[in-house]
Amino acid sequence: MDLLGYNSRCMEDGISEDNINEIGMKSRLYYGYSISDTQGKKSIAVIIVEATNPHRYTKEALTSIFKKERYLSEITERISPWIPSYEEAKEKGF
Amino acid sequence: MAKLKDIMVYVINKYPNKYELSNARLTKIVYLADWKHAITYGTQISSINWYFDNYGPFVWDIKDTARTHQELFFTEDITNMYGSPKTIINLKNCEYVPAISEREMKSLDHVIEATKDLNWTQFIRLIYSTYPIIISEKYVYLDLIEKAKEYLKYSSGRT
Repeated sequence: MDLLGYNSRCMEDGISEDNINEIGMKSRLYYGYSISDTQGKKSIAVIIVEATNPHRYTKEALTSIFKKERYLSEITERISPWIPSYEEAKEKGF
Repeated sequence: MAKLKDIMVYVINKYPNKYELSNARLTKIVYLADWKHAITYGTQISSINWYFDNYGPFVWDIKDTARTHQELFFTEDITNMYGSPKTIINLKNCEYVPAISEREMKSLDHVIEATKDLNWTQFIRLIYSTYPIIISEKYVYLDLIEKAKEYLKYSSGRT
């Protein structure tokens, strides 16, 4: 892997060299899929897919996989009481 | 910094739902108070070296202190509604006045107020939502003072 190229690309996004060095998995492909609540009104979670090989998946292939999953909203809503929330802790003074 | 026995006496005295104060819950309340104090004043209240175990921050210091100071505490080993064992920590000597500073009281009161109405699921979710737990891997010691510095730097950079 071209580490210098990787570092320079990350630095374009404003990531510091120290933070880049701390990244264990040097991903070169990122894909995000937003999951809405069962009413389809608000986004309640995001699934992130990462790969070190930038050609491992296409956007179309991943979108097609997630769109076929019929119960993502239901499952996510069900487990949401257990999902930690940094913002909620901050609001409560922690 | 306060002695752990004093922190425990203070919390048990002030906590409204005393029957809820299991070793696990009291331990995590002290963790939250240490974290609150670290982000507010840059120090912990207790001298506990916090460890991220299977189910969040956990150490045996609370239970050990309760068993060491039998003049102050007594413990009850019971079974919870799911059949798992749990230890309730009670206060034996209600006359004892804990040595806690004003600042420490403020952090402890904040934690008691923020958690007294939370059921176990909500309580654990709050613990898991704190920065040191969100940011750390399991099975490591948590340097709350360093984590507080990172957290404050990170929070001030977020809009």
